[in-house]
Amino acid sequence: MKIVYLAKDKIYVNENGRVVRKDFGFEKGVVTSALKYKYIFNITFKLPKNLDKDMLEIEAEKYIFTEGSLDYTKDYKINFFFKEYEDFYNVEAFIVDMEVLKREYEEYLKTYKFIDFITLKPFVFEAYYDISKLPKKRDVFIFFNEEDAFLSCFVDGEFIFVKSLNKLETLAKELNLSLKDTVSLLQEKGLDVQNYEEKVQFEIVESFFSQFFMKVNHLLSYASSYYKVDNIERMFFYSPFNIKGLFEKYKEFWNLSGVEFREYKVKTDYDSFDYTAVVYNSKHYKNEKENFSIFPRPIPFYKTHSGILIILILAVGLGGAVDAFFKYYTMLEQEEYIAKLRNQLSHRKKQIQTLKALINKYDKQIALLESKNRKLKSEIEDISKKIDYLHSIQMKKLSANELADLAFELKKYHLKLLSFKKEKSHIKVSIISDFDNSADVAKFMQGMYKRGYKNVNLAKIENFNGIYISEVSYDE
Amino acid sequence: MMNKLAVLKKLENYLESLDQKNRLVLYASVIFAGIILYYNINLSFLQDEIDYNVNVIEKLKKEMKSPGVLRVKLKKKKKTLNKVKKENTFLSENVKYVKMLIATSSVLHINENSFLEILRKILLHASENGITASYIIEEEKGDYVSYVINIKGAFERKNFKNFYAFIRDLEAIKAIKSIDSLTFYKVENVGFEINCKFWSLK
Repeated sequence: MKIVYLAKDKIYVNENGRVVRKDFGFEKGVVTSALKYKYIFNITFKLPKNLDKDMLEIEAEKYIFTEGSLDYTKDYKINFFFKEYEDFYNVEAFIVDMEVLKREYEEYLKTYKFIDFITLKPFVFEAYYDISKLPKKRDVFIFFNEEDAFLSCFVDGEFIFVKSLNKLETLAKELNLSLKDTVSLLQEKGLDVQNYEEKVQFEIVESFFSQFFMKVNHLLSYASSYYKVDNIERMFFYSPFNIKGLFEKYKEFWNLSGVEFREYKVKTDYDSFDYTAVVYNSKHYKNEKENFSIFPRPIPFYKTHSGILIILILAVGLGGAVDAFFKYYTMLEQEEYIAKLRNQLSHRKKQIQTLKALINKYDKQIALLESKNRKLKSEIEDISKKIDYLHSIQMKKLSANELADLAFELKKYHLKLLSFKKEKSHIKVSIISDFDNSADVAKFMQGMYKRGYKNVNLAKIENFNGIYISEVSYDE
Repeated sequence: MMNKLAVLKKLENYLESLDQKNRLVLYASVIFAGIILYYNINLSFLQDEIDYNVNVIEKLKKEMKSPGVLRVKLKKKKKTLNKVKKENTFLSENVKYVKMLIATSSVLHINENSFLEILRKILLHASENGITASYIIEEEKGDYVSYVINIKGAFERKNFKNFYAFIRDLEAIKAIKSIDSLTFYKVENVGFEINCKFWSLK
């Protein structure tokens, strides 16, 4: 986080604990500043202890508007600091006229449109302990520059009160010099009488600081009685310019009172107070109770009610529109795909029709050829059967051979043939034999049987005057 | 620009004037209006169209039959057709060849000329073997064309050998033939009757 501290004509930037001073200009970060004490109307008052803590602020407001003699026509920025004591609440009210604030930061606001945090210069000294690592004690810090002079009291690091002191301009008036010349006088001559040619001038300066520290002394007494802060241990004097002889002159004085009087200084190349203010603001910029800024950072649009409403409308509209867009896009893609599918389908149907027609054509051709082939096969088979049949005829035993077989067997048994009749494969023969060789007919039949003839039978035998005529039949 | 800012400022002031509850009601109204618009436009119209399209796509995809199966079938048919064509060519050639063989065969096919030649040989053999006979020739047509020759005659007993030789010569004629019936009987001479059939394919 980058903390920007607006100082006179300069800016300080604290980035990760490293403080850098730059010429005045815009710098991104948390914008902070410290308001001069002279613009503060500080009222210190007590509120009864029996008050409810929640009512403290209301009662404090009532008090300052009734007792604080504020101008009701003006707007004020008011911050309260409550400190609880044994029998009362002490209230430190810090009031700033808003017009004064606007005027004071008018120039800054030309560059920075807002200031996140404005503290009061008297509070800034709290950071001194963090920077110097000195133990926290009962300390007072005196701030003295051209415009402002105040005393801030801290006990154990806690802010107790702040009171104004005599300003430099009072001295300038008494010396009848400008502020610039007065500063030069203090730097060059200071509180050393030897440096003055005119004794009167020295006396005015000496008198101013005597009264200045006298008031400091009174305030310490006041702190003791009102805030019960006894025995201030250290007093730090801050001034952006060196006052010659101041510490030499008053160190002894405060030591006698038991107060260690020291110059306010921190280890830095920059102004000690500005550096302290940067460190302080870096630590406290979130503390709204002590924030005197009336120039808040604009709330981001998305955090405003109208912003939320508009963003909600836009989100709802955009959500619907995005969904509608995707749906519409999906729809277009689908329609494109459907057209493609229809085209493909039509193409496929044509392909299928063509293929079916071809298959049909081939089927017809195949059927026709198969029919032809069947006929051809049948024709071949028919021819083949006929040839086989003719072959079987060809293979039959020749009638001449059958006659030869018959003649051979007849001769063998001295038999004589009377008739021969062959019908197809059946043969019938009539044989003549004498009585004494009638048994040879049987032998003849046996012989024919042996030659392979089948169904060799003797159908009948007739006797014609001692001559037997036998009728024998057989098959090829 | 200024007008817009003024409008925004007015809106902000108006919203500021509402309490938290009313602001929430307003925000809820915006969301509710958005839901109504979403339902009416996105769901009722666009989503319906998308769902309808999804159905159309599914239907089209179902209808989309791949012609692959038909292509395979066609390929098979082509193969079958080629096979059947080849078979047809082969069978046609075979039939043609067989027919040619039959037509040119002197054994399987008997035409007028070849039959006369057979007849001449029969007569020659009869003459050579001293067989006197009468001849009746009949032509039968059915599955085959056949010539049936009925030979009827007689010979002296002592010439039986000649008759035998005649039959042997008859059966030696180069043709497909069968002696369906053969009868002879001895009285004084030997009478005989032969039915000889000569076969021919058409």
